[in-house]
Amino acid sequence: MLKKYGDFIAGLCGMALAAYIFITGYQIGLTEGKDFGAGFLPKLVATGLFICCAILTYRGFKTMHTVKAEQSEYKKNYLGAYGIFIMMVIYALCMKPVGFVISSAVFLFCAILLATKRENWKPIMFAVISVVLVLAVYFVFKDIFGIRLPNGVLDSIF
Amino acid sequence: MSEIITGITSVMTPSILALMFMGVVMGIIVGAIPGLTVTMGVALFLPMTYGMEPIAGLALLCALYIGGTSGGLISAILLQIPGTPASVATCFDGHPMAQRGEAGKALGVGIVASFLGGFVSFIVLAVLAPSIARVALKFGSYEYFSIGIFSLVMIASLSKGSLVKGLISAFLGFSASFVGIAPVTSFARFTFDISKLRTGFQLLPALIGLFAISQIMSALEDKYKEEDSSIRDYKIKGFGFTREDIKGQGKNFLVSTLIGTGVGILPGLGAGICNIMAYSAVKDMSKYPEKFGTGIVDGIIASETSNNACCGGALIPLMTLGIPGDNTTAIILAGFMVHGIAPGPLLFDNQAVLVYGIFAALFISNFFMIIAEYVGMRGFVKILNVPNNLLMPIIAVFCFVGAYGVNNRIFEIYVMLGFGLLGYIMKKLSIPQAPIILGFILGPIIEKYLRSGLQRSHGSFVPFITAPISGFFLLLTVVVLGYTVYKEVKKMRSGKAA
Repeated sequence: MLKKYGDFIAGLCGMALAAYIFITGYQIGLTEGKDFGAGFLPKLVATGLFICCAILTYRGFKTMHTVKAEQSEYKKNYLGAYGIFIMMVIYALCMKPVGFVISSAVFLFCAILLATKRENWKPIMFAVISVVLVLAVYFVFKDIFGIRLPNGVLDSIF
Repeated sequence: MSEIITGITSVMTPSILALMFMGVVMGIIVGAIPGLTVTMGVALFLPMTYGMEPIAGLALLCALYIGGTSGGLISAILLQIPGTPASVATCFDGHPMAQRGEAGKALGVGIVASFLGGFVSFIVLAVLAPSIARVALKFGSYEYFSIGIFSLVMIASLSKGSLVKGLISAFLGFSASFVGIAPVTSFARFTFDISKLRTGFQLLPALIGLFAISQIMSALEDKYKEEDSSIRDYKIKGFGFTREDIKGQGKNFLVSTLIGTGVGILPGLGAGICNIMAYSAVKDMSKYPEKFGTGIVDGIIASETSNNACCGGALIPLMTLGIPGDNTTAIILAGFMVHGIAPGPLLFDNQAVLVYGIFAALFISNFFMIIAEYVGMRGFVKILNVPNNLLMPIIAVFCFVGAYGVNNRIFEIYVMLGFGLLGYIMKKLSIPQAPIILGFILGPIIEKYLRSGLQRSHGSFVPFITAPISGFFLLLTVVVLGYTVYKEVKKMRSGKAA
């Protein structure tokens, strides 16, 4: 699917982005009105991006009927790739209110489970790794590198 | 002569030698952890130098600089995640070698290339510094703009298979650099009224996202791929490579050293750019450019030689003119200043002993770097023994800490995730990732010098062409672009004929 229509769709998206940058750049140029303004280079780059994306769209359109779908030697786990990304977004959202230690330990534990084949799950070992590693990272970064990570609900303890 | 000897002996005390060794090891650790930069490492240790003798403090900062610049190769080769922007191009060939079970060889070649690149550039620094600095002083906005454009066009040749996709990647990086306050006029662009966007996207979260987050997602996608246990058998003899492996690399080394030192001398460019420039230059010159990116030593030598050569180059304007070549040397400049020493043309006359002491510290730190990495490389490769199902989530946590640590803001984590998703999509569409980074780094530089140049010339583009150095680089740009397009068209026609 991606191999077949990827270039065509990416080209169209790129052209839309280039048009947006150009229009915004044009507006900047109008408001500023001196030398070439802060909108000059965005317009120039947007033009270049638009041309390249138009070529990509054209090539994608020409080849989409001839390209065969990619055959993988093993089962691809797309759900895992999207799953870990969603987990990372949730992890980022929780880090400040919950704190680095708890959110990281939970994320690490869940991410290891997600990355491990079901038959190899060892929950207790994964939990120990998660907690020990996160605590080690927290204290190394706090005490050696001077990076204060969010404490969240554990603020009174750390 | 007596000043040279006094300078050298000033750093040969056990305490300063121990301090330098510690600095190199800390630098390597900082460089190897994605998210911690050399600049950050040097900045962290700067306050420690306040109470030290000037030579001890400056030797420590130089040791950190050298160790950190080289340390980035470890994660670049083993994890395909550049520890610092200086080792982006090391990923291209280093990681494929590690995947083939040649991690030891890749690390060994990288370590030796780093050492030799640094060594030659320090000789250049010691011998030619004042005269080179005088030439560099002649560079103005026209020249910097032209060099920026030239570098950007050079990356077109980096694009594996498609010039169009390479250019799209570069334009995307350029576009991302527009977000925030515009140079020269401080006009806020593409901020969507979000105050946090006024500072623009930081390089480090973008870099971690593009390389690490996309790599983590790809690894999860390949969860059911059977791992070949035979490639995890790492037996390293010596530096892990033979004389045969590096045969015929002299020219590659020379070009990369020249690019590294040259780019280092020019303020504001730095190792983040020179490693990609050297890689593309060596690839262009190569008799087998199609092999680049598949895991050959040529690519590692180009990247690692140039980034350490950049260290010596960046110290030239710092010591001779008092102008830092990159962010890290800006902090080293602060190290000079806290001791009441003003780097500049008079430094060589007034503080000759200190100058020679610093030169000696650079050479000694470079030796410490190769020793520390040689001893450590057998341990580094063990990282690859950690199964992917544990390694990738652990790396994710490090990425979060690294991105957060840039400004102590969760916002940088969101930026990292955004670039991570973009990197993953780019991988799926076979759009190269290196040009986006170079476009992102060079964007503000090109814009700044274009606009200040235009202000200087009252809106005329003519001086950009008529200024000799600027004109030369623009001509070179046209030649490189024309040649790349010609190669692309020829390849397409031969493909059609077949």
